[in-house]
Amino acid sequence: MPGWKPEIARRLSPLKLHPAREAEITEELAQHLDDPFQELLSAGATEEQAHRTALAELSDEDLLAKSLRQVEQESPQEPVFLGADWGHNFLSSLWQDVRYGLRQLRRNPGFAVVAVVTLALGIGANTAIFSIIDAILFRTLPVPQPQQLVVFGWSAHAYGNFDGMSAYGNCPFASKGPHGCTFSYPLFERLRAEQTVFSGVSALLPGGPYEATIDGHPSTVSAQFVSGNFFRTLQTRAALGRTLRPADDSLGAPSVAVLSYGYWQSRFGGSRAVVGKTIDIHRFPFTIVGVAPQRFTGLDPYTAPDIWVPLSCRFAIDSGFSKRKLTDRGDIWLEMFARLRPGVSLARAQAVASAVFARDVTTGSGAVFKPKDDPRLRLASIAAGLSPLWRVYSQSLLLLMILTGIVLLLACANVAGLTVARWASRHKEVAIRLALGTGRWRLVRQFLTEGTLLAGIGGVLGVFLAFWGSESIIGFLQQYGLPRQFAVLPDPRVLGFTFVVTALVGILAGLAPAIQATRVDVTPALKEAYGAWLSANCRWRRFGLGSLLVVGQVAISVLVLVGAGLLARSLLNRETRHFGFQTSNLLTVDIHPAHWATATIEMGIRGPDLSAAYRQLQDRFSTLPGVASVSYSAWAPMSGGYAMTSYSLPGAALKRGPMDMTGYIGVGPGFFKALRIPIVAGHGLAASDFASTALPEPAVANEAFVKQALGNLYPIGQEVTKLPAPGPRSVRIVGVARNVSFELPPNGRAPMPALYYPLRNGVASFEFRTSADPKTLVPLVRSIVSQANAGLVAGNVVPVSEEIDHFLYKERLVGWLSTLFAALALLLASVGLYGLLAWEVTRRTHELGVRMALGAERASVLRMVLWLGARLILMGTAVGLALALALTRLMRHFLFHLSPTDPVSFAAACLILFLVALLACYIPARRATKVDPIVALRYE
Amino acid sequence: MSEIEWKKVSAEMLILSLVEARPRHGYEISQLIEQRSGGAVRFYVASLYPLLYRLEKRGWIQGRWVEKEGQRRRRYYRLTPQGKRVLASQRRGWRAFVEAINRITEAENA
Repeated sequence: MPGWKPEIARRLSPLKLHPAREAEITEELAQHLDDPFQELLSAGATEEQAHRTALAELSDEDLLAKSLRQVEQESPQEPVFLGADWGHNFLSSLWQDVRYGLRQLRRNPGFAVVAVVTLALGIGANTAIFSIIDAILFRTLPVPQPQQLVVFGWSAHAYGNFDGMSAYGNCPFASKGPHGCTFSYPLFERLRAEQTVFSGVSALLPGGPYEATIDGHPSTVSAQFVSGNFFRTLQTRAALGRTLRPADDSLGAPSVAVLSYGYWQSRFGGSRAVVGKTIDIHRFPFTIVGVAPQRFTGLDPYTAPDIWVPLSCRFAIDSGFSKRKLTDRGDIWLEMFARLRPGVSLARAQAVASAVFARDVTTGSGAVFKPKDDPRLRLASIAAGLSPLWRVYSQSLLLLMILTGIVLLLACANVAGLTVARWASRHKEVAIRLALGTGRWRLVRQFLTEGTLLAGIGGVLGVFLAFWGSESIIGFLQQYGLPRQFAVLPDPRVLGFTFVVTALVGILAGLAPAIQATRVDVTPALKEAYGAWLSANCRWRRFGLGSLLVVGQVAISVLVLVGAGLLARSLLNRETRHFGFQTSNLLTVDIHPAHWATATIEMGIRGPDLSAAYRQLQDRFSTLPGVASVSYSAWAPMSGGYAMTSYSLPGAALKRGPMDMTGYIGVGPGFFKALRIPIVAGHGLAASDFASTALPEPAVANEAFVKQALGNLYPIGQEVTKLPAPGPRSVRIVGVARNVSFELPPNGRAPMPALYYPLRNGVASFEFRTSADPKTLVPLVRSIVSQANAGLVAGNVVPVSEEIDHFLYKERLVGWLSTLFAALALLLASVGLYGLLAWEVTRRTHELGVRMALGAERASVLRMVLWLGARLILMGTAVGLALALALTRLMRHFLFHLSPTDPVSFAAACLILFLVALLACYIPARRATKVDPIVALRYE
Repeated sequence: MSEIEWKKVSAEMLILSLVEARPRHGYEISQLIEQRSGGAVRFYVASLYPLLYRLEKRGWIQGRWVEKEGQRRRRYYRLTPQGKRVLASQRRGWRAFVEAINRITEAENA
């Protein structure tokens, strides 16, 4: 064949086409010229005649170039990789890299889609978790100048002589010695008058859930009692109507309420007519005067209430809440915060306030502390809000962040693996570019650009995924009590985080091929066909970098699966093993005199003798359909309330000293049966135990009490004496109950020693053990209580398992998300494994064909490929198990009654991984058995 | 439509109709045009291929390298669904044009 190609190439040269395109056109045209040439020859023309005639097809010297220019330059394609010639400056060559990268991706849509989706999942998961961390840890309160806000705390060498002490579990001061965050009302008044360093001092009482009635419909609201200057100190104006004023907070003032924006939206549909409406809280009417701004949460973004009401109303709605609290310097029950005057430092404010505090608590007749106790006032910034969940959450979030980081690493490994596999097809391209004078650094940059491009597209998708993901996580948390105001908003910090992550991912994903690019030896690479290059460089049984990545992915998947398994089993333990009694189908209802608002204060100690009324109610309730058993106790389990007292021990055990901090729990007949608390020795409290009031009183001890107080003594029949006034009361132990925990959230602490005694006076909470959904009982119970006409009402209703759900949501979230991320990790590892094997099967089609042609059976081919994958899985699993053994110890903190090397979790993780990964191998293995030897032998 | 545009459209139409029934390579197309027109219409390499590439770029035809037994690798062009629609509309336009011309010229003859 005459040399058409140089002739054509010469005519094409002015067009400066992409070399590949030029080669293609040249080939096609050369063939076109060759056809008439051959025909002419066979028709008898001389070679010279034929050549001239055929060449005439090309017509004018420049016609081809002219007409092609229009077509080929419709969308111009500059040659991008001629190294120095084209790299005029960094930016233009970068732009070339980007466009070149985009073209590469368009040419491999399958690879591009898998890579982008993989990275989007990785980046999305990270962004979602980070945006939640950001929202929880870094965001400041949405009020003006939040950095001026401080909360008060105190510390001393010894506990003061308090008349009463309340704590709400959200004190941000950590101290070994006695400390707290609550103060007396008189101290609040003094500090409020301190105008030199504070522009405002406010007090609040963290509220709980209260029964509320709106337009005759009962529901539950979380209400917070705040001093009248609360909104003024926070410098917050109402979104609708007005906020609270100091005048609202005085005894006898009309009771008013301000709604949170979220509650207004969800409960009143955002109606502007809400101002002036009445809402009954504990049967006490409040007039709604306004709505707080949309993102306003009060001091604590986590326990943001639905409604704010004046502090004085706390006394109005609850006659059991003594007004003495307003004047008693020894009763500390209020939390306080303040706004510093502009320019006043925290230290100076602390010095001034501390002086006021010390004077107040150490002088005068009602002095609480002795001067030698060195009581000090402390201030802490609450710019980001006062939140006890910070510390608790930050660990879970850290764990989740680590998990998502691992998922991201896996995603990078996957993309790197895919790129390396694709590498073979680009090997020649790189060699050509090197031969054409492209610098190696430029090539490295090209691959990094391509990696970043993938990561960039993945990042954009990831942000959308993250937004959706964090919405669902927040939705999940809101089901379990996260305030409605809490929102995750895309902010510069989150976007910055995503940007950094994306850039890192781009580098990681592009690094492996970039390193390979620098190692290409030009001449052999150009000469060899790619099959030959492969067989020379990727020998059978040696996958190199690709298999290393897969082993790594499998190992990390095992690690994540083990972690997720441990968390899931730990959650199960918390749900089932922590409490020691059956928590499902259990309903608790406070039943108390109508004039009492909340039956939590001083319950079970003082108060009217209601035992007869309670016994009658118990009898009546036990006949209700669906009630398996019913009893009552001074405090509802999970209410967090119990009385603590001290006991002196019987003679033989006296040397052990008095028993401090013993729970003292009054219960009704059948209590142990209703709660399903096992009695391990002796018996529970029988009906006769309630009839007699003779001393010593019969009581049931728990195992912790027996262990701590009596040691090896046989507990039944032992007498112990309750120490404090009024007068010692002796108690005889008639039975021993299994330890139970009434504490929420479950904390894994050693169980508290406790004594259960027959409840005779005071008010109580009823426990219903039901056979079906306990909530269906509520209306029946309410009507029975009101019909009984004993001046009692049914108050707070708590389905216990729901209550536990509310407290376990953090563990549930961690368990749920870690399972999700483990599944994601497993999926990514499987995709990696699949990709590697699929590539391997394609690469070895020829060899497989030979084997089959020589009589290899399909089953043996299947086994061969599967074994190839299985080996990698086994290696990865071994490494993963070793890693897990070493690292799960760090999770000890999150595990509840579970060893970090729990064999069930380990075995389950390995089994799941092995099955799923083997499935990923099976698909390419099956494809290998479908290889047609004829086709395979023609391959290359 | 001006004369030049009609020429362009008709050249496009020729190629589209030739690859309608089955895929053909460039030389085959040029041979068919020459044969069927009795040598009246001829495409040279320098005009045929730019036209093929333009049609391909517009997505009306699609070229593919095919290797047949005992033959060299050749690029075969086939009509795409989009090309099919274009061809149909060009045919309608052409028919209307020819009819219009006919009416004019026949009236003159009568």
